[in-house]
Amino acid sequence: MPSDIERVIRRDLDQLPLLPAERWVPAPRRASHGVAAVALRTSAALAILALAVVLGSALSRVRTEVAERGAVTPTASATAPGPIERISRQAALARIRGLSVVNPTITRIEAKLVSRDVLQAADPNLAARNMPGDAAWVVAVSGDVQCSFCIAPPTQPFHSALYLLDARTGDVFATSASAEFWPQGFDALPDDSLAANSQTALVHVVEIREPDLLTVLTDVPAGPGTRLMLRADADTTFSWAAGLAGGTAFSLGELVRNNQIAPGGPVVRITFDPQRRADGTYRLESLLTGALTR
Amino acid sequence: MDSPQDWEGLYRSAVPRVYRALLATLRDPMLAEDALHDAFAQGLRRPPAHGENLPGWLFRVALRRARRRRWPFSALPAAVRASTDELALALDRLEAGRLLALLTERQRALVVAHYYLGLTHAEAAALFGVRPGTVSATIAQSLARMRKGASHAL
Repeated sequence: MPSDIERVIRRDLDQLPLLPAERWVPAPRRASHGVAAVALRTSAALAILALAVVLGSALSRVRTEVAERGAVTPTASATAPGPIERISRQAALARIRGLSVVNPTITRIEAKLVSRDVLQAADPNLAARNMPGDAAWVVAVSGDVQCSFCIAPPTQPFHSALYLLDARTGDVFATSASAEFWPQGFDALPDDSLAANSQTALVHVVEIREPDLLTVLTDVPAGPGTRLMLRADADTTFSWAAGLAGGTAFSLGELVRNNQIAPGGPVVRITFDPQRRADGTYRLESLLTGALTR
Repeated sequence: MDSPQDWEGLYRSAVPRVYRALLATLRDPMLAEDALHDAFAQGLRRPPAHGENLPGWLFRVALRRARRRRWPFSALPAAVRASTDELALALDRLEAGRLLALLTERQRALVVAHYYLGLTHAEAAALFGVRPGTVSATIAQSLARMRKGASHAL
């Protein structure tokens, strides 16, 4: 039997089509050697050094002048860094939206805060990518994605991508792209930015007070006709659906301006933290308009 | 090996077998291509020792690089990409492709190294940094699994 398997493996693998010969080696990179290149780099380094010296001297003079005028010197408590925190969802989304070369047309973008343990289970090779912290924002993008890491042009166009960002700094430490229109694994991931007992409900919008306040009528958490005041923050997700189509908005105001939400309009789907806050509001975690069209 | 041109010549002579071995092991054409390129670059920086089995060396380096390069969420069941790539489809159409799909990636790597690249158990063990007994046991387990899967096919 081993000889049969050996024969099958040899026979079949030899039938696999090969890459075109021009793709056997990586595309040549721009030459970085030679006297001219070294001279250019040296000149640039010296110019930066000189600029740093000039700017440093200028700033030193300014500091002296300010001190002589009796300006208040910041105290240690005012300047000491606070506890390490994570960047917000909107900041994570903004980082990826800013990659305009990679993502010239984004039709949908979502982010989830995911712990190291969950990522490790999803991707056993994560350790090799040196995940910098204990949590990451996983950002999923749908659109025409260009490959930022391919040595050779991809064999098929990419329509979606995933980016892993260090939750503390927002630095991208891993990325992937796919021909699918939405990275399927993304939907299976939990989102640690949501409250453990988050509630989801279809609600009627009663009032919108930009930039962040929404009053709705709902059946939860206190029975039919409950009036809730919801406050959005930098972690709130805004999205819209219209039939099979859907997309992302980046603020309550954007949904209002696009006539995708209005007082007395169609119901919307919300997820919120049921913990009532001191100002009487509840934290709005996500808002999906056109909820009944999907 | 005196020059990059020498290395490229040697590398090109090994590409057909190594690329197919990578494709059969990784089951991902793009990852196989990228890993192969990485191995080429590695050889430019630090070529294999004189007399080393070149296809085996390229295969090992490329596999190692592929593990670092692998796209996130490859292990998520829901994230198994339904690749439409011709190469991936070609692999699935082949009997060997279907048999190898029954194995883990590590098992595939050793089976392909032994049966396709022609490495002995000792050579495979040295390349992958395991004991020859481990290679033998792994290949035996792999054969058993493939034999079970192929009971109707072979």
